[in-house]
Amino acid sequence: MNDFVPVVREVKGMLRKIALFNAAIDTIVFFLVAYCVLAIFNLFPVIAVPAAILFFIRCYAKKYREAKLTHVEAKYPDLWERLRTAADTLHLNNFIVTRLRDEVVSKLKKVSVSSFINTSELALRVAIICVLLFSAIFVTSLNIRVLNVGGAIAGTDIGIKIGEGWKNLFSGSPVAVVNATEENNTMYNESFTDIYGNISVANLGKDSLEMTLNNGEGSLDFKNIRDTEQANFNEFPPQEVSASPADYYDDVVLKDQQNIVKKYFEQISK
Amino acid sequence: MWPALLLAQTQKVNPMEYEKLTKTFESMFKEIEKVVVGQHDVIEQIFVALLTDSNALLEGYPGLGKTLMIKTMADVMDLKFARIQFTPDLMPSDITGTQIIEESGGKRFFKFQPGPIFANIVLGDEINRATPKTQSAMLEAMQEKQVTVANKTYLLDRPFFVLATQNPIEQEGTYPLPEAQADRFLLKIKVGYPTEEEELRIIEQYAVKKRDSDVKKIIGKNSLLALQEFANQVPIANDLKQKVLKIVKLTRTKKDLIEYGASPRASIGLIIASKARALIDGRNHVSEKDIDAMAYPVLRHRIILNFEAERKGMSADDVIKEILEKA
Repeated sequence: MNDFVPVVREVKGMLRKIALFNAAIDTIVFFLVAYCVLAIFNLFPVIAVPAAILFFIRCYAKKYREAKLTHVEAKYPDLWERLRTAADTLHLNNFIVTRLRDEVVSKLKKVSVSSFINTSELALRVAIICVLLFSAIFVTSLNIRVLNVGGAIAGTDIGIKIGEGWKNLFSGSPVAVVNATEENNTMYNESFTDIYGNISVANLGKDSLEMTLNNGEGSLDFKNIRDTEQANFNEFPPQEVSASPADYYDDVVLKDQQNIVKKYFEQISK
Repeated sequence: MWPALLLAQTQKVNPMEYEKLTKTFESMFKEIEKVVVGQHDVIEQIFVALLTDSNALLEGYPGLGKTLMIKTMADVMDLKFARIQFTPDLMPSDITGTQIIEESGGKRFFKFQPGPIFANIVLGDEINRATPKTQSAMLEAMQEKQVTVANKTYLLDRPFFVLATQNPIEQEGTYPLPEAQADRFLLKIKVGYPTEEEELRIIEQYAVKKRDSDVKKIIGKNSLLALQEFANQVPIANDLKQKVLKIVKLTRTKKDLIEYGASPRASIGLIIASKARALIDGRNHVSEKDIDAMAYPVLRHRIILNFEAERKGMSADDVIKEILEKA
């Protein structure tokens, strides 16, 4: 019996590894499909990661439950009902059971792990993974959007809240809710630096932006911006030129100094 | 004849002897079939009852060779055979034996005269023709493997095996076995008509040629006891045990066709019968096909069909077939 226990353990371990491998392959396919679909519909592609993790857990649990000794027996008809009987009767020790164990061990030597991997199915899955991988790269690099579901959702309060929640979850900053409907929306969070740009800009779409930029006050009025005009200078000077002192001159320059300046100009005019 | 087989009980079995064992049944079948034409399944089921140290109820029309079959099997296994023809006037003492007065040296004293029950294989022909009192004397001996006469208990020889037959026709003046009594039989074996080819061989063997009934002894009493021990040791997988439980449970829950289902004795019986069949088949584990095959003889006398099943003209075997498909 002592020799048979590790044999059963090894067979069960092998079945679990195969279950893990198949679950991993299925999860990769699932992740890529989910990622492509989310990217095409302009939803949050990062959702594909937790979804894939949940899928993997579920898929592995299912395959783990299915990974019974009958799976080996189905592949090797010589072991049919023998393997599970021997495994279920480890507590027994009699001549017939010993004979059965010996028989099972000798037949198990012919069992190979590769026989549990369906090569054609695996090749098909790998091909699907390649296609999906290229599709994902193509969709994201060319920014292909079949339907802008993400944009439609983002316009709503719920969509904004979801988007902000996701971003802040990964950035670690506190959740800041921005109301895009406000005209003077200047409270843009610094974390809005992903490749999709600021969500409020995306909301603007094709609408024209009216903005005044005032130099002194730091604002700009785009409505008053015009092309520069060509200056039109006359070749002849004006008939009469007069000058008058500015108010600043009377207030700041002393009387004595004003007289000196006055005398100077009178002398040079003579 | 098979002394080494006895060592099975002490876990010191010679593998060579075990190999011989697996061929024992082939030899026995071959020998029996020299006399009995066809009826392979019936012979197999009788062997199952023998290996499980149980008793069987045989149901079949007269003239199908039931007695000949049992007698031949007893000869092949070198067992003492006795036949009791049950009649309404048969008394329990006619089966168990009685005290007779004997005179020796001028003194008279009672001496126990063993009845036909003191054999290894007892064939109770048409058990339903005897009164319930006589039937119960027989059934008690089956259960306890002993008889009590005049306050003295006598142990029966081992192996002890009772094969009772019932005639499905001519029910007038019979005392059908109560369900509780029928439950004591592990199997209810149905003996059917032979095929045309088999019947032709029967004619050739018994009507044209000279009957040759000399069969060789293949095993002895001790070997049979060792085989019983081996049958008990045959392992069964847990999922097959679950299947047995499911089958028996279905007989209790299938209220649309069954009035009363099988008892836990049926579960035990189905497992031990399957083990014995596996051994006969030369396997060292119970298979699903053993359970499917043994479900009919184990369950058919343990379920009582309701009116709906009778209205549909269904037999117990039809209902068991439905249950096996579901299980």
